[in-house]
Amino acid sequence: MEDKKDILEEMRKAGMPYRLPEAYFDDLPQRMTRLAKEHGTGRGCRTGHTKVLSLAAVAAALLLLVTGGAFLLVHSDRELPEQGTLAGLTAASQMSGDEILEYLIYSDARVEEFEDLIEE
Amino acid sequence: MTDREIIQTYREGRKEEAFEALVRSYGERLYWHLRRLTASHEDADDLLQDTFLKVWSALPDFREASRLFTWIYRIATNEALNFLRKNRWKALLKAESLESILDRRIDEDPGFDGDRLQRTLMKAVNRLPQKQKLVFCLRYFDELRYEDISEMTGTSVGALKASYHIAAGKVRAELEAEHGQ
Repeated sequence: MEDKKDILEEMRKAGMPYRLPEAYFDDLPQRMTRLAKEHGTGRGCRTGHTKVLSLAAVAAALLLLVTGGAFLLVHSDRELPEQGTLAGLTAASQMSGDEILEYLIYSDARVEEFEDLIEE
Repeated sequence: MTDREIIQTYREGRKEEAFEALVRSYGERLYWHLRRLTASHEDADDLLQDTFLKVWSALPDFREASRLFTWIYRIATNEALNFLRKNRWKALLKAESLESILDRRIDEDPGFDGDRLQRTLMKAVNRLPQKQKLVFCLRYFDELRYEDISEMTGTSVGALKASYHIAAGKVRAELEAEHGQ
């Protein structure tokens, strides 16, 4: 029987094709420990500045949500393709075939239900 | 030090010693995991720091419901996915795809030391849908068991096997096409 080598397995043996700064991993434990100590010892260790920024980000997100929702309500006269077809699903969700396939896999759908979506 | 010894050392109050042992055990693996997802040494380095800062903050609350290494990997993966999500939005604003940005990073990376086929491999992995990419990297490069990946991602072993099979098929096809040229 011909011994056909799997190109993926051959590539794996070659290792990662990257150079790193010299001794990058040598002092990693000390660097990370120093960094951790500088940032404090644990839960809820955030500065006042960080908290203000976080609150501002939440407020901005809420404003965007309200504005976006209002915009959609006013301009939602676009017709979607018929639901229940793959084109309808893809158009409505703006998901690619791969993403829909992944969703089906992770929702434990039977193979027969999505076999035709798998590209040859 | 084993995971059990690291936790034990931490709980005895020798927190820095435990943390250093933890970084020594997992730092390199986590770095490569992040490097593969981001295609950049600088971003992988930043995310590695963020990961270990989060680990340092969350260690007091670690309850051993999951194993230490799957817990740390999950933190690192979430950091990377959040980073990629933000970059996807930035890319959209520039009318580009995240995948093309990652491809360009590989082409322009001064630290890339591989041949044409290795470049093709990394680009093929970049082009996988996010979940497939994650599963592929954890299984193919990190050689983790499906049970560990399942614990990390909350996805069934069956779904992971199917996802890996599809991802590996796509990557293999691109490599064979490049190899045949």
